[in-house]
Order: sequence, then structure tokens, then C-alpha cells
Amino acid sequence: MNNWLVPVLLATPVLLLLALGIVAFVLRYQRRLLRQQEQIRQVREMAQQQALEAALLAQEDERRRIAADLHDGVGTTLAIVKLHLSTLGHPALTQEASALLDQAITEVRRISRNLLPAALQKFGLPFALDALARTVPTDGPTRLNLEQRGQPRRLDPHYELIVYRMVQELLGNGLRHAHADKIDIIVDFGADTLSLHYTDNGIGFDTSKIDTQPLTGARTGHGLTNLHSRVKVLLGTLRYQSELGAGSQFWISLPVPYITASQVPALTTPLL
Amino acid sequence: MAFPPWIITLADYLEHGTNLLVLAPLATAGLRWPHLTQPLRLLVGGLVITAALVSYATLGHPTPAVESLLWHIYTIVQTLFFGGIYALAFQQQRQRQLVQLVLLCFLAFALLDWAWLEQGTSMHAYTHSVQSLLLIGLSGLYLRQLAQQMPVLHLENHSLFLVSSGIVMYFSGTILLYVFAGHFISASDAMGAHAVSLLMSVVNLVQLGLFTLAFYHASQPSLLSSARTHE
Repeated sequence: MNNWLVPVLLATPVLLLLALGIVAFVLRYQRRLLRQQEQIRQVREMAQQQALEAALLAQEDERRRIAADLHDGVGTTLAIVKLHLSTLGHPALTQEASALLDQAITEVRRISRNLLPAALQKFGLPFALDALARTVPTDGPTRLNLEQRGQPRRLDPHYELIVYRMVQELLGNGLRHAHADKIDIIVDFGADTLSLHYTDNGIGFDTSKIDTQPLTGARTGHGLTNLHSRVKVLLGTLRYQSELGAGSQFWISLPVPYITASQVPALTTPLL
Repeated sequence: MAFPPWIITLADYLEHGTNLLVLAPLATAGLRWPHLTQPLRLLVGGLVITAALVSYATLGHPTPAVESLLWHIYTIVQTLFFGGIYALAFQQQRQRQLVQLVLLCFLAFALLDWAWLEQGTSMHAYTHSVQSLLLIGLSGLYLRQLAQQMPVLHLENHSLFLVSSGIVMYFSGTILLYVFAGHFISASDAMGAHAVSLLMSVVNLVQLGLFTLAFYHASQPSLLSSARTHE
């Protein structure tokens, strides 16, 4: 046999293996790059999530502080002023001022309640949702049907507040902007998820224009952004469907941990 | 050292088998033709022309001089078509122009080799060696570009990745055989010829298999795109 053949025949498989190695290396390199990109994406998402959560918590803290200041500061001061008025001994002169003071005290209480729903803290989400539904007048232009399915239970207070704000946001949008005469909200307390289904028969909106610059006077989509943010904080999913003139529907699913009665935290903030 | 007879028989069968096996990628390409990109269509063109040349060289019983010329043309055509794939596939205009320039240089070298460097020899080893180095280099550069830019999620399903892998493996497996082709031919060693034939058939088999897969996957891209939904 040719003297050259043996080394060539031995070296050729080695070269072939090297080529195979190059191909395998490219594949592995791509996998590693993909993994790195995925890790970076996850870290970025987590940071966004934390920032969002912090922003929402800060917002709620600020609301709580303002609610407390209004109740304890302005509310108390107004009550003292009313007391002073009554001690003047001229009911005919002070009657109108006293009525205005009563109106102001009621208004302060209403704002304070809206900022921090006491029912939510004291009795939990199911009760607070019913209370929220009762604030919509039954003889008004919009008929609200809020139905709670499953076994209504307590959640972590932070979660309860976020879910409450979602319902509040949906309801507020429906009442203020959708011009709906019928709003249905179903809150389903599942085994380990909480689902919200909102339906209205209002003017609806163009889903393709949600991310574009809103026009003056048009529905801005801020409500949807807030909703998205809250859903994101709870690692839930939001799906919606709407068409101009054909109403809107929202489906929200949240993986929320329920808590037992013994885990319900003690009341720390003043109730109104 | 003597080879067992079954290896010699296998080498014979494989040599003829791989010549016929070129029909597999061509048939797949024919079925997937509407989905083939320009570089893949160029590859089909290259395969058709080289298959025609091989058929004539094998079945046409040409004279040794014509056969030598046919194989030289085969090498040139193969290089221009395979290289042409990269002249189309590289992303930057400058890279594509460079590939075209390199191919022109190769053509000039092949003519020089035929007319002067290895004039009258039955196998133009210089042209073959330069061809191997050139195509391995181009495939390697393209694989690097693919790895860095990640046009698809599963690179193993990317047609040009499979084509480049086939080219790298084929020419890495045959480069030494071409470099020392002159020694093998002058030795008139039948045993050696069988061994070389067996090795070449195996790498050709791998290459054609990868080309078939490449044409098959041309219609199944898994692009890194995300569908926009209201979720």
C-alpha cells in the first residue's frame, strides 16, 4: 500500500471530527447565547416587576397617608370649628355655616374612604366589593351586577388592595367613559386563582389604537395601562376584547394565595 | 496491509450509490421549490450541473484527457456554485463583494493550474486543495455569523446552517485526499484507491444527507418572531 495512504486515512477522520466539532460548537454557542439572552430578559423583567410593585405600594402608602391626614387633620379641625360655632349661641346666624361644615366633613370622609377603603381593611375583599357595588345608585343610568362566585375568601392585604383597585378601575372606566347602561362583573374565587370577568355594553374602544397617542377627549388608555401594571405585579394575565359601539370585555386571572382567618392581619390604620 | 473483500465491495457499492443519492436532495428541492431561497436555488443548480458532469464522466467513457478536463470543470463549477451561496447569503454588501472577488481569483487560479501549474495531469490537486480551503473558510465564516446573529431559534433546522455544515464536513474529510491525490495516482495502488473511494463516499453521503435536510427544512422556518396579541 502507498506510504502516504495510512497517515492520510488516519488524519482524515480526525479532520472530519474537527469539522463536526466546529458544527457542534456553533450549535452550543448559539444555545449559550440564547440562554444568556433569556437570563438577561428575566432579570430585566424582574427588575421592572419590582419597580412596578414598589411604585404601586408607594402610591397606596401615599393614599393611606393622605386619607389619614384628611380624617385626623382636616376632618377633626372641621368638627372642632363646628363645635365652636355651636357654642356661639346664635343658631340663626350659624345655621348656614354649620350646614356647610357638615357638607365639608361628609366630603372629607368620602374622599378619605375612597383613598383607603376601610371596609377592605376591616372585612376583606368580598365585603369591600359588595360595598363598592352598593355605591352605584340602583336608579341611575347604569345598572351594575357584581356577582361573587366560588368561596369568597381573604387574601394577603396587599393583594386585596390591588384586586380591589382593579375592580374599581374597571367599574370607574365603565361608569365614566363607556356610557354603558349595563355592567356585569363576575369575581370567581377559584381554588388557587382569582378570576375577574368584566362586561359592559358601552361605546367600546378600538383595541388597535390603545398604544398610539390618544386624541384630546378620547379614551386615553391610561386605565388599561394601570390595569396592566396591577395584573403584572400579581403575575396574572389580562385579556380584553372590545369594538367601537359593541361594548368591552375583560378577563383577568390572578394566581393569588388565599389566607386563613388566623392569618388576617390586625387592623393598624384608623377606620373612618 | 490488505482490506477484507467486503470492504472493497462496500466501497464499490457506496461509490455508485452516492452518485445516485444526489437525486435525494434534488427530489426534495423539487418538492419544496416554492419555499427555497435564492442561495438554496443556486445550490440546486450546482447539484444539477455537477451531477450531469459526474454522469457523463462515469457513463460516457470519455478519453483520459477529456475526463481530466471534466473533473477540473466539476471542481470549478462546484466551487463557484457553493461559493455563490455565500455571495448571496452574507448579510453585509462588503462581505458579499469580497466573496465574489475571491471566487474570481479562484477561477483565475484554476485556469492557471490547468494551463500551467499541473498541465497534463489527470487530477488537479492544487485547485482541489484551494477549493477545499476556500469553501471551508467561507462556511466557517458563515457559521460564525449565524451563531452570532441567531436568525432562528433552532439553528439545526436552518437550511443554510445545514448546507454549511455539509460543506465543512465534506471538504474537511476530503482535503487531505486531494492534497495527496498525486501520490495515490502515481502509486497505482488498487487497495488505496478503494480506501480513498470509501472515505469519499462516506463524506459525500453525509453532505448529501445534510443538503436533503436543508431543502426539507426550507419550508419549515422557526423564526424568532413574536405574535402580537392583546395579552
